[in-house]
Amino acid sequence: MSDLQQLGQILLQSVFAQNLVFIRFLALCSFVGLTADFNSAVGMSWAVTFVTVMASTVSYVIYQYLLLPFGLEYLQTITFILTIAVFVQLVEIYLKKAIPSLYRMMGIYLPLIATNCMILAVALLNVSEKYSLLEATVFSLGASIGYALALIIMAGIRERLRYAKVPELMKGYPLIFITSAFIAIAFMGLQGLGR
Amino acid sequence: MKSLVSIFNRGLLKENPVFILMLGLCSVLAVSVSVVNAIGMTLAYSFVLICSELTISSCRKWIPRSLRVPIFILTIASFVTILGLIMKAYFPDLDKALGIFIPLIVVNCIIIGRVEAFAYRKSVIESLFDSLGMSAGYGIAIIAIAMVREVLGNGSLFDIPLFGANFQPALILILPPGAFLVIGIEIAIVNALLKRIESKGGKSS
Amino acid sequence: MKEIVRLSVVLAVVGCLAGVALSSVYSLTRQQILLQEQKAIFTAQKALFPEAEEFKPLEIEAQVLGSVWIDRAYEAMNAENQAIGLLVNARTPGYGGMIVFVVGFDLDKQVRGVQVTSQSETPGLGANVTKSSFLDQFVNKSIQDPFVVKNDVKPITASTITTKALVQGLKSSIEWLQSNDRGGTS
Repeated sequence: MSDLQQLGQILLQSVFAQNLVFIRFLALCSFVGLTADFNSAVGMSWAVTFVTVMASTVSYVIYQYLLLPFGLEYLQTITFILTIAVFVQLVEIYLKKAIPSLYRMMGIYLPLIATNCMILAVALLNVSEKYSLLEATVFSLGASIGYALALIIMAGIRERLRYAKVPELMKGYPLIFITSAFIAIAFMGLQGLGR
Repeated sequence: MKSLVSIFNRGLLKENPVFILMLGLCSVLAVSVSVVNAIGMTLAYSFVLICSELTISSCRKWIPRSLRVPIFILTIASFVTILGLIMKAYFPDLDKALGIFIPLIVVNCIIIGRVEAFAYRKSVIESLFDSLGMSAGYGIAIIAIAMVREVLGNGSLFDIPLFGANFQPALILILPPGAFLVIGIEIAIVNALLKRIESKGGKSS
Repeated sequence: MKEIVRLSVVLAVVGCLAGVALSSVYSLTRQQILLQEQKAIFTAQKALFPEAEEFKPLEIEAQVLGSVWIDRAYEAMNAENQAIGLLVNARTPGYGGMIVFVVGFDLDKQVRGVQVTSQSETPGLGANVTKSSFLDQFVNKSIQDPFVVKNDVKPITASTITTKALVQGLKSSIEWLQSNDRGGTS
């Protein structure tokens, strides 16, 4: 299988068949909490994509050139989370000063990202799946796209649901989860994609 | 003493981290495929929560306000790493079963949130009860979901097959959609229960 | 200025404490962890060659054959220190991640069997790749067998991807065996 095919497969898999939200159960807190409003969903997606792709690439490099040669693999969790936290801080400061328009779009979501489990998960998976640097970057991108897809779909649906008649008990979170169940079924049907 | 018990109880139902606060969902849904795994996850999670809350609470006087978040992260991440090492050494099967969700305990919103809101401000003994209550609440939630998923989705409990060989389990329950379905329904049930308790409390006047 | 110094000192102290705690736990558990990893492999290999006394690791070059990672090879030795078979430890990309497995070969070019030591396939479906109900069909198969899924190989219910991954793993292991002159003359 050519390298390009391999990359394409990683991309398709992470967006659809192995979608990080619906199939791998990651980033659920932000999924449930931020999809009430379409704009927050979009803003958060941008922020997550930005941080995931860059922070996980940096984490990968740190792992390969700092942890691995010194036999310190067991420090990966603590190193990655610190990298992500520092990265988020730096990005926030930089955006505020240099690109205010971008900051207005996604800035407020940045502090929330520190506890987004998907970003740490992507950094950890890049290592455990033994990806090359390029594969890791593609995977991070695919994961973020899958996340954005999940958030936007859910936000769209929730806007519609506001006008629907829902039994009292089901209002709010129960409905969100049951809706997610159906979306998950749809994503499972995409299993064959990218093989 | 009474206030300590009420701190514990809060974590159990009224402020149940999973069903009410909606935190820590990732691990709950992913690990609830079998009850044994759910119990293992609860123990792992409790270890980190209790140790972190106790450590931060006992050192709270020395932690400068502006440095608290990095120190919280360092502390929690250290306990998670220690937990991971112990599990790989003595419980490798459970470690494999829980997989990536052990390191992900670090970003579990419950722990960081609890440490910030409680351990940093309250005494050690109060933090102990809070962490115990939250752990119990988490455990109840994840085990409740795991029971439904394992019994109906796999036809077993604690890996012991319950029904005869001809039983066709509802496979979807141990697959991702099933997780969402079960937690959705259980949240609805918990909400109903809470409403009942509240209305009963109001009636006694 | 004094404030920054104080903050840095606190941070450094915390960092050091964490470092000390972590490295001590690490050195305490390291041996045990290695032991556990070896035990898992040994159990799988013993399942394929119950009569073997020891498994001698062979010096091989780790390589990738047809998207399958060939990691290690061992020679199964019996009590009289004679070679009674060969084992190949490899990894193949499954549906949910890498499927780590061991293939055992007899001296007369027959497949002893396949054992799966690690997988993250769909529970209830692809995860059944570890079950003997699926793996038994590879026992005593000749390495010349075409191993076509659905024709020669009975697939796992609703898990063709997992099945194909494992079969590819088996075929690559056989390919490695033959190209490394250990399969004898064919």
